[in-house]
This record gives sequence, structure tokens and C-alpha cells, in this order.
Amino acid sequence: MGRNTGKNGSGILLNLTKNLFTGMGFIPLLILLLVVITALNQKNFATFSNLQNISRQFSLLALIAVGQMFPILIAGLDLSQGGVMGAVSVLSTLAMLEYGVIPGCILGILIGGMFGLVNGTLIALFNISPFVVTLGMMSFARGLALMITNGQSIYGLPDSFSYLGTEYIGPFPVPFIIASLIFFISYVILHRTRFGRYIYATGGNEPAAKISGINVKLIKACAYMYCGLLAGLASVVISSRVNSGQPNLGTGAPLESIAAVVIGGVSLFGGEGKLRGVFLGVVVLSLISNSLNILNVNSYLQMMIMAMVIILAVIVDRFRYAKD
Amino acid sequence: MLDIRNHKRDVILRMQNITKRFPGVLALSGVHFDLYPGEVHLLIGENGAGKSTLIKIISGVYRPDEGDIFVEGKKVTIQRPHQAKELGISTIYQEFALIPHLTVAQNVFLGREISANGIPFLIDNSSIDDRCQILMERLKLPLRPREYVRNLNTAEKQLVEIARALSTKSKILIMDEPTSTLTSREMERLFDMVIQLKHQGVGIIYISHRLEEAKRIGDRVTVLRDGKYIDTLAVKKTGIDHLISLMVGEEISERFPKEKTEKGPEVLKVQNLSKPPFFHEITFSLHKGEIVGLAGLLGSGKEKVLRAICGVEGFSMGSINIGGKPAKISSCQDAINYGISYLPSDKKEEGIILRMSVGQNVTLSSLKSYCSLGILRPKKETEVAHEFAERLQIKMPSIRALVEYLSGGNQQKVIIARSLCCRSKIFFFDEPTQGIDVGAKVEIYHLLNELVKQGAAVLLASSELPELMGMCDRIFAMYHGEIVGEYNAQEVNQKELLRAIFGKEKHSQDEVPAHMHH
Repeated sequence: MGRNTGKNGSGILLNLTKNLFTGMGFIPLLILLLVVITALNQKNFATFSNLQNISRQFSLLALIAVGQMFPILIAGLDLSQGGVMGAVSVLSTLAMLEYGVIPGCILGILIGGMFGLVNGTLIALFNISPFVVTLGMMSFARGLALMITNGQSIYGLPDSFSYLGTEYIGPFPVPFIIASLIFFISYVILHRTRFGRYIYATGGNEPAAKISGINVKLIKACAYMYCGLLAGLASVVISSRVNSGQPNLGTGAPLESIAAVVIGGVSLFGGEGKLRGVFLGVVVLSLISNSLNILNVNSYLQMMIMAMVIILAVIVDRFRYAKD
Repeated sequence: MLDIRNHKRDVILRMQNITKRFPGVLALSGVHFDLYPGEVHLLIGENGAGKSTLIKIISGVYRPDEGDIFVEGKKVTIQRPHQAKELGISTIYQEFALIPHLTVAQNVFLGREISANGIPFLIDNSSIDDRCQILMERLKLPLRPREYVRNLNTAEKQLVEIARALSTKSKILIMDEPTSTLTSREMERLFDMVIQLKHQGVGIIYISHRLEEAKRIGDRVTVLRDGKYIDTLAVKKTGIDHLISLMVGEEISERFPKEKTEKGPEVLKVQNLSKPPFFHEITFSLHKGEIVGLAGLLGSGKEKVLRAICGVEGFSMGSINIGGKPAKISSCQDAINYGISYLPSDKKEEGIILRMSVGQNVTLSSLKSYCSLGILRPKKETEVAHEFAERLQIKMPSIRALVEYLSGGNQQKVIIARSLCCRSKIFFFDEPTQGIDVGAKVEIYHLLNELVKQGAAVLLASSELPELMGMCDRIFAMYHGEIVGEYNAQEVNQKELLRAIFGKEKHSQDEVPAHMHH
């Protein structure tokens, strides 16, 4: 696909940008508009520290959005991310107090994966709507977190734990490095493994995938598990940033992650969508939220604006994939 | 001309020279049809003869490319289904268009609700119920207006459809296989109703595969074959055998490029396979280098048998032997591992993944072979996809093109390529030529030849008898979930086969369809 075009450096760059933006519709424009408006109005937008801010915001959203992409690719969705993040935050920090930082982090990620696996198994085995299962799981996980802590935060964690959320490697915040790694791994999974191909096949046409000899139920369960693992990872990173276990962590997570995925052009009907789209979706959302912050927009109004952006994205999705 | 003028007073529907083309297919060419009030006019023909196209033209679903339609002597153009309704034409379709969570009365009057005291938006449910009750009494139907449709069985749902069609003042009623889901008692009631409607002057077009029973109520019969008008006859003076020979006509086998192949050892043996109520005691075998046909009408259970053996849907009893050894097949993966591929009839629904590329579709069942250490090797994958696409001569812009943009015949080839890629030795084709044009059909037949020449075994399920007779070595006929006969494809004549799939070979038991048994 256009590998031979662009003999010089600028040609390749042009081609790359073209490829990156193909099929993304209005997103690049939106990004440009946002950057220009905010940069013109506010001097502290284009500063180094704000860029680091944006990248941190970007990273946390990226983790849950990439996770969310997997269930959506098989025409499902995961509403339980927020609740799972709360439970993971509480359980991993408690484990940390007992067994140390690294076992706590690993346990947290695994617990996230467990929640996802339960979601996926219920959905695949009993053929129930993902909406209901994950909505229930959201409440279950949140309830668990609140019950264990009696609604209180968990403090007194080892200092070394804050490394994940607050430190830098070179100029890059650690969460940004983690998110980049996850993008890379997910790219490999989606485009270079059988699991990835089977996800697109299952989402594109489930009966056909089944007849082709794909274990559709297993694929579904694994997609939700991956989403859970990343929710667990995101929770650990945020807990590290706030250096505490928070039962109320991630309340807006599913809404924002679904928004980023859909803005990125992944079809809610399943089977279609690219990782680079999700990347752009995450960039757009984190830019919007950062701009609103810098412009000192009332935080309640911010919620309303974000909601409108999200609904708009879904409407665009409708038009793009409507067959008749 | 004079002839038409004379009939103008009487005929309520006259169709002249109706021609309808679909891409690559001439569905109807110069067909005539007329209908008198108070007449039951049978419309018969084999699958693909053009019956349903003609019906869809009358009811406004399709528009004819050529020809005129006169309703009560006036020339009309019917562009949309609701226009047909306004002209007094009602159609009872085979598929149910009922809403399960509404009552019988609410379904019957759907879209024509009665307002309470003339206040708009408020529905007067009780007067709908009353109207429905009156209708049920008039039609002598045993349905309670307040019953929810979800609680009804298939036959009762059919009756609701009929009541809905008759609740408007229809002058012309089209019934498409109305008895296929009914028990014999319900069928009698339906026939009473038809006779009653006849007396009220309604003209009825009646389509049925069950010639025996249709003959009981029909006045005239029109036969279609290959989209052409054959004849219109008085039912009383025409025997069933004569009708069957009119439906079949003289077929030439040139359309079917069958090649002789060596019959090898037995590769598949199915014994006493049962899945009540769909099929019972299915026993057959398949040899290397052989094409075996499975003939049967819609609902005969033939596709259920295919799906059971290929692991798509299970079965409850019986055994499958592959290559002489017992095989346990409980999923499609199992079947593929045993070398059996299922090629479904509805390609877009079950066969291919439209939004994936040709290459990705071709390699989908055999991805494992292009992985090392769990990571796909795209180069190797593309090479293999290319090789098979070329072998099957799939016409495509590139291997990366989406399958969505390929023609039906080429999509079918993509599925065959996928099965070849995972080294299948036994191919189960379910209606492989349905909905593709004549040229593509012949190409598919060549591919079948190619497959068996290379040592595969093919099971071909089809409702097109000429296709089976032209391409197969042996043919099994299915009726009501049972195999009712085995035939040598070279020796059997089409009438014999047609009689078998209509259940006339065995003594006809009763009229209860197989799936109504409990």
C-alpha cells in the first residue's frame, strides 16, 4: 500500500500523515482547532510542563481505551472498567502493605484480568448481553471496594510505589512509557497474532468465524480479559499517582474509554477499527479536557461538554456504518 | 384485443407479458397470469421457476421491467407494498411479520388502530378486541384476541397472519405455502376458510409445493418453468403426473459439465444420525472422488443434517466414521481437524467476513500454519492466499481488497479456497449455486469436478434437481427429516426424484410436518 511512493524524507512523512489520518474524518481538524485556539488564548498551554501533563492524561486514558477497544471489536463493550479500577486500587494497595510494592502491583493487574475473564466467560457461555453483565460487574466491583474499606481511602503506602505515577524516564513521565508499551503490544496482538485476527473475524461475522473453526467463545472471554488486565494496570498507575488506595477510583472510566474508541472510528457494530484511530481518539479527548482546564472552564460545564462530544462521536459512527 | 375487452368486466387481475431481470438472471420472461373473482388459482413450478418473483411483483415488492398489470380492468403500476394493499391485494407470507409482545388483536390491527372517542394518540384497545373477535368468528378461527402472540405455536401464528390479511377488505389474496406449518386439522380449517372466501368473491392465488392438497381447492393452475409461462389448465381435468412433467420439462444436461472420476475408498460413513424433531436415522456414506447429492425441499431437514455433521449444530444420536475410524465432532474446529469443511448456503450470513480482505478470508481457517512462535508471518500468509486465489481464479482487484466488493460467485470461491487452505478432504456444500448467475454456476460446477479429481469427496445439498442429476454420482432424497430413497444420478429420472422429495414415494403418512412432532 503505497510503499513505493515517497522517495525522499518529506514524501515518506507526507505519506505517513496521510495513512494516519485516512478514514478518521474530522478528528485531525478537531485536534488542530483545539491546539490553535488554546495556544492563542493561553500562554501556559504550549509549555513543557503542560505537555507533560497532557501526556500523563493521555496515558491513563490510553490504557483503558485500548482495553475497551477489544470488547468493542467483537461487538460488545465493558462498562465495568470503573468499578474494577476501584476494586483493584483497594485490593492492590492492601496487598502492597502486606507483601510489598511489586507483588501488590502484579496482583492488582491480575485481579483486573480476573474480573474481565469473569465478564467474558459469562457473556460467551450464557450468551447474555455484555451491557447487562458488565453493568452488573461494575456495581459488584465498586461494592466490593467500598465494603472492604468501609468507604475510606488506604494510606501509608511505601514511598517507592509513587514511582509509577510521578517519576520520569528522560523527559517522559513513566505512565507515558507504559502506555506506549501497551500500544505496541496491542498492535502486535491485533495485527500479528491469531488472537487478533480472530477478534476481527468474530466481530465481523460471528457465525462465519465459527464455521471457519474459530473458538468464538474463547476469543470473547479473552477479549474481555485483556480489557480487564488493562483496567487493572490503569488502576495501579493512578493509585500510584495519588499514592493511596481509592475505592472510588475511575468513575468516569467506561464513558471516556468508549468515547475515545468511538471517536477513533472503531465501529460499535464490531469487526472494524484500527489502533491508530484509538490513539487519535485518546489524543483528542485528552486535549479537549486539558484545554478546558487551562481555559478555566467550570468543571461541571466540562462534564457537559465532554458528554456532548461523546454523543456526537456516536452519531458520526452511525452515519459512517449505516448500511441503508 | 377483443378477448381482453370481454374479460374486462370479469377479470380482477390480469398480468401480461411480465418480464423481470436481475443482474445475470432473467427471472421472468413474458409471463401471463389472470385471476377471476371467486377463483382459486394455483401457481406452481420448481424452485427458481419464478413463482415468488411474480408474487412480489403483484404485491409491489418488485417492479416489472416489461409488461402490464390490470386490476379490475384498469391499468395500474404498483410501486410499493402499501399501494398493493390499497388496491385490495393482500399477501400472506411464509415468514411471520408478527410482534410477539403484542396481543393477537393488536397485531391484526397494527398500523390501523382505532382511536378512543376520536381522541388522537389514545388507542381504544377494547374496541380493537371487539373488532378482532368479530373477525375471528367470521373466519371461524380459534384465536382469542387478548392472547399474546408469543404464547402461540407456529400454526397459530400463521392463522394470525391470515386473519391480518383478511381483516382488510381484500379482493385478491395471495397465499404463499400457507400449509407448510399447519397440521392436517388446521389445514382443513384453512381450506374451509378459503372456500368461504371464494363464495364471497375473493380471488385467491395459491402457491404450494404440495400438489395433492392444493388440487383439492384449486380451480385453475398456472405452471411456470425457468421464468417462462408454460400453461394454464383446469385443475379438475389435470393429473398430478402431468403437472409434474410440465414443471420439469425436457432438461438437457449440457449445463452440467460432469466429468467421470475414479471412485475411491469410503471416507465418511454416517450411521443412524438423529436429531428429533429435525431428522431421524440418517445413514449414508461418501467415497473419495465422488459427488453425492442430497435432495429435498425447504424444511426437509437436509441442511440440518449437514450442519450436524460439520459441528455447527449438534445431534442427539448416531455415529460418524471418518476414514474408517469413529470420529467425535462437537464443534466446527473438530470437523475441520477431521478434514470436513462446511460451505453454508447463505454466504453473507455465515460464509465470509465481508469487511476483511480476500487474503484474510482465505487463510482464516489455517492461520496456525503461518505463525512462528505465535506471531503471524504476513509474507507467508499472503503468498499462500495468492496461490489459492490464483488456483481458483478468483476475480479481485487485489488480495487486500475487501470481500464485500466481490461478486457472489467469487465470494463462493473465497470460501472454497479457505477450505482448501486447511487441507479439507470432505466438502459439504449447502446450496452452493443459490443466487449466483448462470456463468458463475458453471464455474462452481467445474470446481466441484476439480475437487473430486484431486481426491476429495463432495456432499452437495440442493433443492435444484437438475443440478443434482447433472453433477452427482449418487443422490439421496430427503423428506420430513428422513432419507426416503437412494438413486443413481445417471439412471434416475426427474419425475421419480420429484415424487420422492414431495413424499409421494413412501405412503403419505399424514400432513403433519416433521418439525411439529414433539
